[in-house]
Amino acid sequence: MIQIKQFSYEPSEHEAESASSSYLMSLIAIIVGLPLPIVNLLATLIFYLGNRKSTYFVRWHCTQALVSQLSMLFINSYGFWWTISIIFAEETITSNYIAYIIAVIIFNLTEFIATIYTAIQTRKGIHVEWWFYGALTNIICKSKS
Amino acid sequence: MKKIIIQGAITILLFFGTWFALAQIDWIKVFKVQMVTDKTEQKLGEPFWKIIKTTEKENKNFHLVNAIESIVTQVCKTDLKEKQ
Repeated sequence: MIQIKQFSYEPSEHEAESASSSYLMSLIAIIVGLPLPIVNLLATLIFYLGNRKSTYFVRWHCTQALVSQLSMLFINSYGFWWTISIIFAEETITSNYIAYIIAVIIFNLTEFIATIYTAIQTRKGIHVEWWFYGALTNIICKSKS
Repeated sequence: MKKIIIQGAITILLFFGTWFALAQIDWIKVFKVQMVTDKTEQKLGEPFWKIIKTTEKENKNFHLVNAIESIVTQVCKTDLKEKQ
């Protein structure tokens, strides 16, 4: 699921710190705005926009953090609005709903652990590529040189 | 590009597969949702009934109670059928 790969160049200390911060940003946002699925995406997006002109290593990891958050937004939003409709509308709790929430928790937990691991590794300057998201980031984020 | 599409499809399938597999378990029974709902309804009903009893006059006329009970039973039966 997670691969350690050789980056095209050796990132400096400052770059590793910034790249690691992009993952930390989403972690902090998850803790702060837990029930709202949009908060962590917004935090990562703001950090991404702020680092658009940064070095390749930083941009690459900001993009990976953003792309991963984007897909989580869909499943989290669906779960969030389903819960809201149960609380405030006529929807009732079904086995299907509980199964969905458990699936969402499993995926979020996996993403949470992967984010912590990646934040630690990128801080050391190690390039970590995620399953699917890493390949997707390679297409979106290109080296300027 | 093909590799990314396959990986993306696997990720989506994995999520829906997990959901589908988990949906096979009767979570309502596992978490005793019905029992908790019934208890909450009863707990909420008690103070409401107390308020109604203190503010309104209770009519214990046998014929009237019988007529209303038959209507309530009919409504509840239809509601249960619709739910099932």
